[in-house]
Amino acid sequence: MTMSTVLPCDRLAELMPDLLDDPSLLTAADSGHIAQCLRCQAEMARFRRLRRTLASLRLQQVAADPGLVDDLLEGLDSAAERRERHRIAGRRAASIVGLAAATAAGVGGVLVLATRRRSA
Amino acid sequence: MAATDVARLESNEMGTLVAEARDGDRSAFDALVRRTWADTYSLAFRLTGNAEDARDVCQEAYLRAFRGLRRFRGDARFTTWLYRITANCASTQLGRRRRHRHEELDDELELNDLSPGVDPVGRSESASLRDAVQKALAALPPKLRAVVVLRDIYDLSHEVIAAELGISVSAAKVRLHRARHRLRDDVFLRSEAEGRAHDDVDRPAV
Repeated sequence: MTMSTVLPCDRLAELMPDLLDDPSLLTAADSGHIAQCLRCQAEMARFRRLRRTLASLRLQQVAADPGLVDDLLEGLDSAAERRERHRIAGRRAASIVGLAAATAAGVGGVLVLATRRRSA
Repeated sequence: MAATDVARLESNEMGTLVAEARDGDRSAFDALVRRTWADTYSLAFRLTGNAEDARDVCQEAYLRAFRGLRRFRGDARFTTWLYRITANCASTQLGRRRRHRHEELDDELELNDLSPGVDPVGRSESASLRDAVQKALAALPPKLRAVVVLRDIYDLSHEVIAAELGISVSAAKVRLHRARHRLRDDVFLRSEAEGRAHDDVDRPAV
């Protein structure tokens, strides 16, 4: 029967991408191994270079059509206009409903008065 | 003036513009758009992989920012808040397009270096390494690419990435792990293997 053992290098290679965010994942024994293992040092150096290069891309902007900014502002204008129209339409609808409610109340009042007079 | 002073001044100006825009000053919001659109477009392009989708994502992101500015509490930077909205819009857009599009980046990346003078670490990385990383990023499936772009280029936290992409934090971490492994394979192992093959060809037969 053969025992399968995971070599520290293989286990650490699997851990390397996560070490970039959380170095505390390394135990003291792992650190000791890396200090003596050229393979693990090379692997760690690769991931660190990768991370640094990715971070450096933040300072590179993707070239865009210069007309895009005007399109974006126009889009915002249209959205603002639509919102204003909705607001006005909403107010108008609210006043119509208010007017209708007031009319209904008035008519109701007149009817109540007329009914009382008739019964008196 | 030192770079940090410039950054602080810019940050203060942005803060003032955000406050004015939140009070309903439309011209202040326009000024914010003018300052941030190129950056927002870059993120949108990196996430969606093509110019057409990136434009749509940008448009949607600014509309959402405009509508939601009153809810922006100012506890994060405005640009970070905008990145989150952009990531969320890109995720929606990719979901919509997934059935119809090829998954790799279609459009050629043209890049403008923003401030080479203030980035000594970035400058020290060779142009060829950057190119290799860009190509490897472009070849990643969109789900993996989104996580690594947001974490390693735009420095968003795992929690924020998970929230904006609509996945759990552990799923975001798993995707990041896989993405970094694939990038490492593509960028370093392949080129090292090619280098070795090249050496073998050049070596004279004994």
